[in-house]
Amino acid sequence: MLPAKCPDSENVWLSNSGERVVDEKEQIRIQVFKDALIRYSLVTTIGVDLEMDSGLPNPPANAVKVFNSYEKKAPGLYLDKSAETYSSSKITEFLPRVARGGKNSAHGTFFGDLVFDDGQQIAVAVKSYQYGSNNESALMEYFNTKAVNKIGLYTLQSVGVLLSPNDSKPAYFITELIDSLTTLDTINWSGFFPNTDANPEMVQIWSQVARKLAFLHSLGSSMHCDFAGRNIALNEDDYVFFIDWEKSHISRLAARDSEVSYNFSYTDLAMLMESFVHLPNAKFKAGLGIFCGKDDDWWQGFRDIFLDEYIDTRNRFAETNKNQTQVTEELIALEASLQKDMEFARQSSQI
Amino acid sequence: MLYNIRMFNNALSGGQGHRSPNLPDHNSPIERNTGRRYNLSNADIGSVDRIIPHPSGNVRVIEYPAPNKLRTTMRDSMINKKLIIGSQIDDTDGLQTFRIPLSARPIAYEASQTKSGEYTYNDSKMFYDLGVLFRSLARAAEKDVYVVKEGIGMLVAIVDFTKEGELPLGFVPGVEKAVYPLHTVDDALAHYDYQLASVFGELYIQTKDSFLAGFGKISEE
Repeated sequence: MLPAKCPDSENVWLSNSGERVVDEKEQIRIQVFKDALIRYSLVTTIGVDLEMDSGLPNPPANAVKVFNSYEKKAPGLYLDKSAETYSSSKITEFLPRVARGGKNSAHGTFFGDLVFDDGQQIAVAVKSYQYGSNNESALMEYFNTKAVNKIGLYTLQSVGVLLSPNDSKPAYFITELIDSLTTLDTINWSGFFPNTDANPEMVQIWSQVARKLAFLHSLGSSMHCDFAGRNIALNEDDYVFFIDWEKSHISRLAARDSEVSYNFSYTDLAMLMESFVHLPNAKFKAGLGIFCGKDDDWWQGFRDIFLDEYIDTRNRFAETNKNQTQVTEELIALEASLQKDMEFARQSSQI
Repeated sequence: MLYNIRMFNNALSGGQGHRSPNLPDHNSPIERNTGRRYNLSNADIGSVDRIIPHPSGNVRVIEYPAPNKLRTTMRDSMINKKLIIGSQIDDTDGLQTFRIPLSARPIAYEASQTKSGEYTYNDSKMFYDLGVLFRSLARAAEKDVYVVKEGIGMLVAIVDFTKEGELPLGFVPGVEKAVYPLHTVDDALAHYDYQLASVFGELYIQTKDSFLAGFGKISEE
């Protein structure tokens, strides 16, 4: 039996002692989403275009402002223009799917099929926002994801957002679901390091990660901002791509100087390094556990597996972009910071 | 027929080709082997796991040389019991072809998943289903108790993002070539205990109860 429902929120419940608790039960989260879909089943199309070459420092944030000013009329379901090709005007049902991957998000992402009244279905991943500024967060992720596609980096396609009437109710960001998607945190990495040569396919995965992240960081002033293993995905061709762009900053505008660009790259790489170091089932910042329990040189391992190729790719982009001096300054500082972080992590693990 | 696929080397395309009129031209784009994370090819069985591009979406197939009559009978029994993922789409010239879900991947590389939820396929559910799967195989024949020999990490696949009624776990096509008989159910249990500990180590030890519950549940029926 479900606990008593908190009167002012759809997904906050009262415990026996009367405390407000956010219920993490998946079926409740999904039921809340289904209820919202029924309430707001009529589809509105999002018409705002992202202007990546406008010279604005943050085009997705600008698009959110434009959407809120000119398009948002009421809480409800707003679908991407591209979704028109396979949608009618009303959604009738959401059919959940069982998944093993993609479950380590703090947002409690779930998966399923949106059913339209003409019988067509779209397989989707649904991410809920319930910790404040819900609509803004969902819209930011929607436009950030669009921006990533526009700069030429593959990621999942945005399907739309379900906006709530106020912050006491969750908002949702909906992306397409590809069946053959798995995230790096579904892989057991415990046997990978230090025998990396015995696992050339795994080395190749990290090579792709390094090159694609270097591409992102070389393009104006961009960062992922939640670059953990759970947000790096693979498909059936072992093709790597990044997901979960909620906190990202995507802009083609060049960083002012190396200190600014350092802040972008260091944020992502420090988080990735934590993924290498932290245990997979850690309650706080779970990682991939690549270095856990290994006596070998972690810093050299990180360099060999990821960092050297990242730096090499950044340098090659810098030649093209003709900003070698700035990038060299940034990379020297970046390497020094990461080495210190890794040494600290290594020492901490031995305590 | 879309799935009437007969692979042959196509020198022009520089790789594997096909002769089906319902699949795109050989030269663009060509079939390719499935990536390592997902790949269910098995050298011991002689199977190849391959992606075939098609305008309606990628089709994933496993092909392997036909087994002998006894093992074919065994396989048909396993298919009837829904123990094998995918469905057979071709059986010509001694080549067996199964279409399998794009999301199917070997259990060998799986990391732990301890989140709980009705729609989350966590470690407990996976090992419980493994127990059910192995016990169902053990009972597939009337006389002997059958088990999958070494390499179960590549002979059992997880199917992710399953809809209602779909199986999240099953044997990989061609598994009938890796099956052999033991005397008793206890022998089978001891065999799997050793195999699972080899593949999953600590993860199996922590969820062994779920496996035993799955393996034992069938025996009570």
